[in-house]
Amino acid sequence: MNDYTTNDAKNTDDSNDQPIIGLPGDERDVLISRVIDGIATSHDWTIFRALAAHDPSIWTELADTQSIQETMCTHVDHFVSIADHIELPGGLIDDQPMRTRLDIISKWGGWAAAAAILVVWFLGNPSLQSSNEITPITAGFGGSNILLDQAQPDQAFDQYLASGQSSGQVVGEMPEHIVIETRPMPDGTIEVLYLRQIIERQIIDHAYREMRDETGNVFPVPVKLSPRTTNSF
Amino acid sequence: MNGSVFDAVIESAIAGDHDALNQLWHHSRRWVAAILLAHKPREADLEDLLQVVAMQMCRKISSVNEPKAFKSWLRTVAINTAREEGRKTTRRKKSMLRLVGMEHANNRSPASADFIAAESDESKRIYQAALSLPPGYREPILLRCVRSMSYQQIGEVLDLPTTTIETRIARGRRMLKELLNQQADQQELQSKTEQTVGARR
Repeated sequence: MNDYTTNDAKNTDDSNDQPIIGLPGDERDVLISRVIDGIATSHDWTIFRALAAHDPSIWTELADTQSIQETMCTHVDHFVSIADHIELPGGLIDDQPMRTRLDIISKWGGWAAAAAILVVWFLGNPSLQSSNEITPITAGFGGSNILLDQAQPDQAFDQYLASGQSSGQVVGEMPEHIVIETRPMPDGTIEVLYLRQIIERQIIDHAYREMRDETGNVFPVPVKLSPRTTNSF
Repeated sequence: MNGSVFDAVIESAIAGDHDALNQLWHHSRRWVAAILLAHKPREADLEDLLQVVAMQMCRKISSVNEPKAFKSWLRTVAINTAREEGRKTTRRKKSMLRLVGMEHANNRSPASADFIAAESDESKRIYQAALSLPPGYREPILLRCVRSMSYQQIGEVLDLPTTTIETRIARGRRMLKELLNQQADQQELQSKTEQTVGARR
């Protein structure tokens, strides 16, 4: 790359390649650019030194251009590094293997078998399939276990909280209830509709966020969360 | 990744190999981000646009005829995505004007994804000046900032000869320097004028 001739004559891309009036010294610019980008050959350096001997301002020009380049690239790199966290859409990637697997199942055992296996797949817990008995869910609260189907709503709710907290699924209940509506009843009492807010936690392997394509269809996009990321969902 | 290996990855991705598609995306996403930066409207969120390009790549890569065409195809997808966002932004701005009046539409949200409080004014000024260069110069200059992109690789993305890329980068840098000098001169003149007016009062 020792030829400093510019190649605008060959270029048919757009009008941007027309020689720029008032922008002399393309050769000088190319030489400075090569030095900045670390691709200057020994021949380039010979020319550069010869130029600098007659016009020392080329050193200032080099320093200024390099400084601008580095500052700009630091800024651009900051933006571009966002791309490192962008993965291909999970739904679209996983779509084909899923379809392929269902095709195999349906060919092997018909749609009934495919449906059954799909259910197991999503439940992900074969032990649920082996148990035919429905075990009543009970939980200790205040030293007593009450069958849920016999419990009052408050008791059942308290049992859910206690059981959830001991398993780690329930973090707690927000102290304030949100009142939705208050209305007087014919008997003089007041009916209050309100929200109770329970905070639960789940440990998940992958996080996704919803995106919409150009036709408005929702699709999941994997999100890579690093310890630095403060985004929440 | 050398040329023939890369071409093989592209061929596999076109044929529907998801691992190859992932590999291709990881290899390309930084320069795709640079192309989006060069063409997106100021308010648009780069992350959202990257997601859209990633989705388009998944859905339409089978339309790429040959491996050599992949990079310029992906660049076109990125440019179209950025332009479409530009049209949406214009539409949103117009409807905002109708709804809330001019003063709200003119206020830029400080919560914009591109807002970086920590960045120096000088760095922002240089970056904004680079974005105001003509696209033919802006793109190669921004791509050159993407780590390890050689003139040849930039040429492959822009579908231009390496020598043209070299010329454009060199000219673009000069134009950027001149633009920044002009801005500095204008600021100096403005500040002198303000000082003179202040002294007269």
